[in-house]
Amino acid sequence: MGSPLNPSRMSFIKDLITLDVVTVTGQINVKKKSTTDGDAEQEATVFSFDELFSNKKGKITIKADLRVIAASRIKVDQDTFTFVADQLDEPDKDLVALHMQSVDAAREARANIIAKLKPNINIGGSGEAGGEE
Amino acid sequence: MPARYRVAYPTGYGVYANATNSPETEHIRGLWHELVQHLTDLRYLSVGEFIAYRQRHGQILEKPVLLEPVIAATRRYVLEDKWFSQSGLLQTGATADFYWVHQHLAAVTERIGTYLTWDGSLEALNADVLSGEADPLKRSLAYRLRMLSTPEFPFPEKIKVFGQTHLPLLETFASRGLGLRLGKRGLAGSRVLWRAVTDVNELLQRRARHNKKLDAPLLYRIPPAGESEITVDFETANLALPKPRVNYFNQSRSKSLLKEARRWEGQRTDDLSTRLLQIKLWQINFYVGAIDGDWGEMSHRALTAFITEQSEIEGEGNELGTFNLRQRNVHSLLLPVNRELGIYLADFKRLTKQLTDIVLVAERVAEDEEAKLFSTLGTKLTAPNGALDRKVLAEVDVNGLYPPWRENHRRRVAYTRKGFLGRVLRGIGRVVRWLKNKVSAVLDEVGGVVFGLVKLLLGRVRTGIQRFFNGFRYLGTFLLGKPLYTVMPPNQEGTQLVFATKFQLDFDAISVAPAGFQPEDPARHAAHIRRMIRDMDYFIDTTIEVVRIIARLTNPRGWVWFAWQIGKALIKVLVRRQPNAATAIA
Repeated sequence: MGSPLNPSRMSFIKDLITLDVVTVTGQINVKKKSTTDGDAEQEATVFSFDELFSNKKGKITIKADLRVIAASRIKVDQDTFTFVADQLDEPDKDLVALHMQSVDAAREARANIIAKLKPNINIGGSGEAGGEE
Repeated sequence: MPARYRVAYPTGYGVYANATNSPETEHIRGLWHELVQHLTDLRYLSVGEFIAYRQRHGQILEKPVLLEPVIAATRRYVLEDKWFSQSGLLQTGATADFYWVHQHLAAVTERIGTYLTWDGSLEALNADVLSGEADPLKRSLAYRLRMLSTPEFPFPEKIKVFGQTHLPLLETFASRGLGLRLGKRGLAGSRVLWRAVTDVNELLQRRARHNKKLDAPLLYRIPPAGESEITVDFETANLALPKPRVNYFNQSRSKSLLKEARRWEGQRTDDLSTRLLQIKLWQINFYVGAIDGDWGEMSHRALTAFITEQSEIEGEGNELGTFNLRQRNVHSLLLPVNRELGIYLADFKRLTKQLTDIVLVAERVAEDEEAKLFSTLGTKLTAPNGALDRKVLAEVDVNGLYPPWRENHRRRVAYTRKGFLGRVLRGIGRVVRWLKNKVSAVLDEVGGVVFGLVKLLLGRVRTGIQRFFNGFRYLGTFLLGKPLYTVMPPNQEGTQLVFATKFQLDFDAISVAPAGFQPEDPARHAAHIRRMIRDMDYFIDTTIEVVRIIARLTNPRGWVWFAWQIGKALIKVLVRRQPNAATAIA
């Protein structure tokens, strides 16, 4: 028997059954920071999502001066709600296409990962590829 | 992690991968160099392109444009080698462009290398490959015949792909060169031939059995240092046995060898066997010259280095300065018969026997040898992993053994494979001395097992680490919430804009586009995301397995050992043609 469900696990499951995708644009400063790692000095691109967004209880808040171009919420039953900002200029319309690609990518990535995490149930056959070396 | 362990991977996340000139790029350069050599041998790259690459190979990562011919050649190779689409490495609709090749560099290099071995492992090369379109096997056959081309069995240099029209050349080589009787089924029925053209031992033995003239020893001259080339008439030159150092040579064998040399002089015209000996000495890491049938200074140095190592192996445990019979026999393979003029006498018959006794074994046998190698080093050294890491990763002492490419583009290094471990184990004393810093950097001391082991380990390190870090990027992006960046090409002001998308663990996704982007930039970023999604299964599976390997480690080991484990697991995928890396690793 499994252990009783706890609130944090419920929250995770709730997150898994909805998918939020947001695309924003605006003036963003990307810092180049020199870091020392082992005996090598290297330059890293620093792009802090934490400084730009916060995500509390599934609610994404934009903390920087960014415009939302599009936002989508996809539920597990496949209902999809997409918001697209109005009065977009031509370049911004290209971002809508990027947004839709991100939606597809997020959906596909989640499906792949869930497939990897689910128990390996074998029905009617060995299902094992390959063999003894 | 110290930089020398690293393999650069595209940290810039551009569609065109960035790679800077830093210590960590050494391994990635090594992979490119190996790939280029293989592509040239199979003539996906022309010799001219190879020379051009070699002339500027130090700049390839700073100026990726220099790699464009290599990418184009790799694309041709990947299209011809169906394994890439069958295994899922090249998915439908994908092309082997710069980005793809960079991602899969280790796998491509390892895979193409399997077509160029001389250890009998290329079983797929048989009569079935003679028809149909160009593929790597037909190119491999053409490469082999180019290597074996002599005035007696010429195979034109310009032939890139073996075709039906070249069958008479192969038949002549099989019947007159190796003495094979082709029955009613001709080449198709000659299993021996197909084994022979992939296995230099088989070739050497067949050739020697077929042509007794090859029993003749070879007299040759290497002018002493500082002396100019002059023509020496061996028939009139004063030839004498070297003054006997106590028990150094096998005296009776040496005497009869000299007698034979006088009897056979002038009759040894065969340079096929010379080529075969060069290939064998190249395969076991003594020879780094061109396979040209010309027994000159490089071949001589390779032979003396082989004798030094073999003598050491045969004399393991001997009292210093004394030589057992086996050692004396080894020393008698090469007699300095006129030191003043630099004339040497090589016993090719016995040399062939000695060299063909060195068999590079199959992968599964090598499994035991691998365990033995690491445990033997553990008993003979106080800190074997530290020593391996320090000396192997920096290629200490062996750098000088790589051929000077600029001077002679035909020179090659042999990329060692796991079957070589048996030889390494026999010469483990020499490896230990090297790890203890007790050898000098000359061919006599570090050629052979040391050079071979370094290349073998480095090959695994490069394959394992390059692949692992690339895979880890996928793990980071899709499981650990590390943002996926696309760095755009510099604009007119030299500024590079960055797009970013973050997939969180629960797969909410946030994309951020910078102000002032170019019209094509969103599509670039979208293409980057698509590529990552497309490859995620392949990379995440193997990377998770590598993480499991780490979890199973019971005691800390060195980086070389660790990378060896990873590389070994990944190479199984390539050798066994299994698309699913996880299955092969398990």
